[in-house]
Amino acid sequence: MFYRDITPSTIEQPLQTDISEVNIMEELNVSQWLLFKKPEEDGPLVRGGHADALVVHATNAVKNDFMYQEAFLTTYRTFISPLELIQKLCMRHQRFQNSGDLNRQRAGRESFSLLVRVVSDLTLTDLDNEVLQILMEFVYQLLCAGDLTMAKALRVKLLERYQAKMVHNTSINALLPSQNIYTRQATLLDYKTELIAEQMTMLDSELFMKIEIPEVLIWVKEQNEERSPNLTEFTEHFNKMSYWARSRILEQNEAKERERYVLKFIKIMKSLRKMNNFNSYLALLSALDSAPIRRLEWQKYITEGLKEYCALIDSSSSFRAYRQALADTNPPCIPYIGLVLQDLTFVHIGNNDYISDNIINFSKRWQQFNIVENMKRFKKGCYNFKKHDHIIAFFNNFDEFLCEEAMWQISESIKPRGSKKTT
Amino acid sequence: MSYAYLFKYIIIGDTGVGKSCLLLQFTDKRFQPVHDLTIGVEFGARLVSIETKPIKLQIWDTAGQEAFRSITRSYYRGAAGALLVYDITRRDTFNHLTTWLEDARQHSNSNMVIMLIGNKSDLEAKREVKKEEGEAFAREHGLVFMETSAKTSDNVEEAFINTAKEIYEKIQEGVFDINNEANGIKIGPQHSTGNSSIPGGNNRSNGNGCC
Repeated sequence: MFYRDITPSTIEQPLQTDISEVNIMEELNVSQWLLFKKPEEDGPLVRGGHADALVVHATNAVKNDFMYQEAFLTTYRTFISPLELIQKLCMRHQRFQNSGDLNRQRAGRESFSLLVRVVSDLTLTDLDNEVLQILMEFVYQLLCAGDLTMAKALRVKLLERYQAKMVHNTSINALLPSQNIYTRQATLLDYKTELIAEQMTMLDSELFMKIEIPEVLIWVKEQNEERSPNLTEFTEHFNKMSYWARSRILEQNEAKERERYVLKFIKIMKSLRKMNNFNSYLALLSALDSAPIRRLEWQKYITEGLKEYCALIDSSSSFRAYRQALADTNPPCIPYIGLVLQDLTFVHIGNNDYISDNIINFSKRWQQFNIVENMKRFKKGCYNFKKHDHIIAFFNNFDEFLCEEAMWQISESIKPRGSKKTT
Repeated sequence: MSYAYLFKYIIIGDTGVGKSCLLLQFTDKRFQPVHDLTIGVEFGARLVSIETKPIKLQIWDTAGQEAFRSITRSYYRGAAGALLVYDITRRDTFNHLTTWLEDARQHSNSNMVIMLIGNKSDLEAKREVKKEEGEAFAREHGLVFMETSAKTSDNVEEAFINTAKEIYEKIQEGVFDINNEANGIKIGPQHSTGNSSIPGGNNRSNGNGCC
């Protein structure tokens, strides 16, 4: 699957017509601008092609190459902007709709169908003023032409996305409790393990659902927090939770107390694992496994137990254990996104975006598509836990944690550097 | 393949400094396909020879996971060598070296060999960090230093192999406990010392550079 595999030998036929003379967006049959796999090769049919040809192919791929359209919709932003794509589809629809030729009329309708899909998949950052304006104008043109059903269909989708954006911009932070609750006296040990795990999972789930797949692909290319806002929020949440857990352990003065906290976190992890929440599981594991905590003296049953928990995220054979566990899991589940990002990074770096001038390497997009499918699969499941305001208030957005320097100082005051570890 | 020792490496440094590109350049320029669907992209590995001994280098690359900074540090453990990479065209990646180094030192075993790499030496016109600055930093912190270009492959072999040489020397001096796998060193399975002449860089293809 992860071949870096496009070489000239995979090209079945040379690209024939000089594209500078034709507008591919106005053609019915674009196969001469596409690259297909050889008959003896496995895998998906389309391996590459001119961007416009890939667009046109996506408009009529529903019948015979359904997966292609899905892969196109997931990855097109890596070679054409939503704005350009929308403009091209509008143009193709307009060019063809009044044609006397039935095939052309059908192609026009297919362009429109794809346009509706594109609009309903627009992310919050995709939907800027320019895109909005172009789509509104297009709706208006449809109305003027008397295509009321189409105009309505498009307008409904557009409004849906627009409202989602408005809601997002004004939404209150879901991680905070709904009322003012005074929890100063409470400690982690006061709450039931199961309940804590449920509330952690609920918060994770909310953030996970907000992540839009294109953000993930963009992150791998650009690492731009503004263009991947929900992914950034999710990652930050992970890190904060890990530092929060470390702090709760290290701020205990007595060794016995620290041990009780570690045990509590281990129990929570066990519970998280049952809920298929790999994200919080790993955040807590990374806390217990962090150097300032790991270097302290722990009872043997704790260190032995931790080893078992670490086995899940053992990096050998490219995280085989974790990948297998994930494959065996049914939704609802919150996967560890770090590995998705790593796989995407390797695919991005190991494969060229283009096969040659203007010819997009679509094999690379298939690989990206296959990786993010694993995220999509889990976005379908949903947890049904009841919000527990006291616990959410106790978490306090995981904002209370010591800086790393302070954690090291505490760790070293408990056990000075250079003293031998006995376990 | 038979090897005398296996050394585990880790590549660290800011996002975008070219960690995976270095790995890609050093291994066979492609990420190994793995046929089991549940398995992702395999980490890079390559056989080199140090003083005629075949040595397998297995390299962990955490590229892509940097944002999950609370977890990536646990990968330091169990590594015998680390390539600490910055980008000579981005001053901030050089400024972050102290943090990376401290992290690495705190989380790894104390004998880990760290090589400082100033990558993208092909982009001389955009250079923001002088070579002398890299050298000074390395001297101050007791690291080996080298400028590389993952694009032209300049010094890439040397970076990985020189690190291996240092580890090998430490083994000869008895500094490393080779029976403890936590040190990132493993003795080869049924290794025969007679089978020794593995060329250092024979499987390079001519793909175009990735960065």
